[in-house]
Amino acid sequence: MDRAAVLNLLRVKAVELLDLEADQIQEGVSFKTDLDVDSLALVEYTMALEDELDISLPEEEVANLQSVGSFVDLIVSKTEAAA
Amino acid sequence: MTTTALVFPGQGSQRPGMGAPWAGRPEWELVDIASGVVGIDVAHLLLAADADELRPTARAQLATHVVSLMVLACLRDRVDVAVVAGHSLGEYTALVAAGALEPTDSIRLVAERGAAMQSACELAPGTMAAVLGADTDAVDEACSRTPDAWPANYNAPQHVVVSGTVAGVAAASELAKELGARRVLPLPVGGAFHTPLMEPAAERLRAALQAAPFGTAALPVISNVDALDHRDGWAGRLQSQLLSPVQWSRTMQSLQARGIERVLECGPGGVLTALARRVDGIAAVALAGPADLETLL
Repeated sequence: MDRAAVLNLLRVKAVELLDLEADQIQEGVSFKTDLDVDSLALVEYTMALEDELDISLPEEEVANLQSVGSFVDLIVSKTEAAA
Repeated sequence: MTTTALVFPGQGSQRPGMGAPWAGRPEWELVDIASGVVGIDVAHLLLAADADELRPTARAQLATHVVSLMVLACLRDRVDVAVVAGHSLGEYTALVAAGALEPTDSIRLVAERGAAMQSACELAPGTMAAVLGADTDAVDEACSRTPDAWPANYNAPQHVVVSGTVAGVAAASELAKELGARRVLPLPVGGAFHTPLMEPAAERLRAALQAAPFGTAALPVISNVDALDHRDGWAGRLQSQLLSPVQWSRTMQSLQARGIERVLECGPGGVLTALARRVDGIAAVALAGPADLETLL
């Protein structure tokens, strides 16, 4: 999956699950500090992405992510590994 | 017309500065009333306190309750409501919404509840963790096989919070993972809420509940302890609630069965909104500040 497609999916799921607007999801933005997404919501969001893409996003890797951009990187790497 | 339910969050939904959008508005009088009733500076809690200062249960509960009361005051008489419910602490706010309790009495009770729970935490330290992606049966089994761990919030079919001693919650979390849980998220609380370890708090709260002037609810209130609707008998139910799991998943099913099309969460956070959106046929909106209400109305 390319970066643009992943970013688009992050936006779709953020609108659906996190009560955010699509254009709030930008590469440099942090879910926690900029968008005020709490840890429980972030975990559920991560699980929904796992289900959608049939990949595994290990907790410890997700916990360290600082920005939407690094989340995109992680998902791109996992989908490439799975392909 | 859209059939609407109001729901009210419990603790864990508090946020630093959550009162700021309400400052200077008519609803802010509830903050002054609360400060007078409880004898602490509630405005400070809602405007200036940071996350650490807000975390102790007595402050978290009071602050969350007062914000929810302001949302309710702003919404009242502008939306037709069919039924109400509140998660844990939120049940007190739901009773105000249903006309069974006046805000001054709910504030007094919530302050007493918070103080009682905080003392109980000091007597028997505990914690809680959200177990995600496992069936309710698996989490029940993990708890039944672990000393000092209990299911505390049945939030959704794949989302159960366990509560107990620190060791009990850790052991039950591990077992739940073995039984299929995908994630376990420790919650930043210092007590085993909604378990038998809250017995001292329930005992202390009993007198205040029995003395409180509950009226008959003008709307059905779905209770945490049995997910059934009640109008009376709240003193006993609010006491039992401290010791038993919150039946929120069944509460949502009950709303669905009643044909509720829209759930409005009145208070900070948005946790209940996320849970309600998983239920087929229900749209949910989080109302934390005046701007959210303007958008809605």
